[in-house]
Amino acid sequence: METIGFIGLGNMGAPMAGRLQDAGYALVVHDARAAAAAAFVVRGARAVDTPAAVASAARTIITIVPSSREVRAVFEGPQGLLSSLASGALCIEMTTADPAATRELAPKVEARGAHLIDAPVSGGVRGATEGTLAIMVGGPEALLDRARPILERMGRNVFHAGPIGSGHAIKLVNNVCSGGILALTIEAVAVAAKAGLDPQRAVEIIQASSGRSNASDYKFPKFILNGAFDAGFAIRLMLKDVDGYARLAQESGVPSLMGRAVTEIYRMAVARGMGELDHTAVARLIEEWAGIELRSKPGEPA
Amino acid sequence: MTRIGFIGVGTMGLPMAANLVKKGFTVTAYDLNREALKAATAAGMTAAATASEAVVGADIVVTMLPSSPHVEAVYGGDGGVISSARAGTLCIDMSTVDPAVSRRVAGAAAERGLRFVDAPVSGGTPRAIDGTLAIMVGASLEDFQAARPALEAMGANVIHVGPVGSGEVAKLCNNLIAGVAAVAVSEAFRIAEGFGVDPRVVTQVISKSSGNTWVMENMHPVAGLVPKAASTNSYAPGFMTDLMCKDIGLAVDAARNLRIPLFVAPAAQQVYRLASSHGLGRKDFTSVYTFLSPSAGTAPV
Repeated sequence: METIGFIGLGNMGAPMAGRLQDAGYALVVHDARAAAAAAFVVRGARAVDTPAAVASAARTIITIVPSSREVRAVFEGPQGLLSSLASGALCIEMTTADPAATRELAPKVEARGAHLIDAPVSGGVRGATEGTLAIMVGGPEALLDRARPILERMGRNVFHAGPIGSGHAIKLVNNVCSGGILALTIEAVAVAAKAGLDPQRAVEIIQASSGRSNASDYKFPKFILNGAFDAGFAIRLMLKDVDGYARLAQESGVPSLMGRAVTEIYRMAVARGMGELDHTAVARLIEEWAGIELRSKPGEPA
Repeated sequence: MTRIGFIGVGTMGLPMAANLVKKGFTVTAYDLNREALKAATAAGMTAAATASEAVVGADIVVTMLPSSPHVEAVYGGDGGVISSARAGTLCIDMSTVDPAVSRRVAGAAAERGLRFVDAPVSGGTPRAIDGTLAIMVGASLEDFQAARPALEAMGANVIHVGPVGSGEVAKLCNNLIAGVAAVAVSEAFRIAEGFGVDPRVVTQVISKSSGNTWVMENMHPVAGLVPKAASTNSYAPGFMTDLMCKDIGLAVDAARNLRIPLFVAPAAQQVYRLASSHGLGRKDFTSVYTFLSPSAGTAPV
């Protein structure tokens, strides 16, 4: 089976790379923290010190790092991918990154005779571990066809989003929906609680009615009503994504009253020292404002 | 006689440069817009064919441009101010831009032995014509003193705020307040109007009360109350809605980089963006008042 280069073995990258290894792909891995590669080396992967060394060893290279800044460093920094990409190589950029930066990067990759698609993911650590991620791909369909067998090892729903950068765009769009609906549902449930409803009952009724969403269906019962706050995606990362969305809205000239409210709620949470908490813990901030706690009563199944 | 190269003789730049001419400065003007250059010639300036030609023999370079990318383009690159002006030339950028851009351009200018001052203005076209602009200056004390005679030809209140970039900081803080105030005044007067109360009397009351604001006194969004206000002249700018949107955007972006949560400024920014989507982008920003017109009396409440 072909060798895949994999750069970025963090919370998401490690389980994704693990699934490729399970499927029998040979991996050449790199992470800025050398220790992150150890578990993969034990299972037969080769660890290298630089992105350039990954590019020399593989014709298909996956990158999943914290943000566009790290993407730029991985591709364009000293010993970056661009310095050693083989002609015909395919780079699959899976970071939640800035679409404009991705569109700027593509011609630099093409200039090496290689190809770039953007393929960010949704589904969290659980989706990465179970191979059930949603993957949204920007770039020519022929390149997606080439990447598809690999992507299908990591995700259940692989979508062709559109041209280069559109995967990154729809990822930011999804996250502002996710973060915005969450914050709005928390606020609304607080209002319901103040109006005399048990928070859990309020969530159940919303879930059975037209206000239903991922927040009422999943995040409230699993992470908020029980006080667990462990969905695995930090508030500071949500802020990064909704800020990315706000930039996109600004560039595209679409008025963004709602989006701006969402960015500032998460920014407020970070300013209050909550940046490292799970994004569902934005409930704690809204609860504090409302002077109420939205927990299930003892004995109630969440 | 001090020779000034003036780049950007548009709505604001033209009257500012004309005041320099009136005070005895020799001004060579450059603008991408040929009509603007014609007007500059009519006002006693020499027209240059390129930015480089405008600055090559100048003691002082003044730039008055629409936004950060324009400033970076005019200063940087081949034929830009930095590569064309003589060492020792004092560059005064009076555009409203990101303070980080001022600092970046100042650094590049210093490498070529040029001096750089940021000196954005407040007061709009009427005060540009009268030569009574407020000018907020970011500069070393020495450069501030050197820039002062030219600045005082264009403005009545020339204030040294601090080092390079500080003028822009003061400016974006001011425009955040002015932009938010224009929305607030517009909303308040729509309510007064809805109750059928005479806006002239409400204006008199507020001008003596805690809600008084410069925007209401000088740029009243309701037509006919302040003779010099853009509203009285069918909202001809003045200061365009799209530029106000840009300026509040500078403040909002700066706040993001400083990790400060903002609620009212981003909302106001989006109100201007909405107004722009409704065809008011190139009208005066106080035309936001017209965007807030009520629905018909038969609409449900």
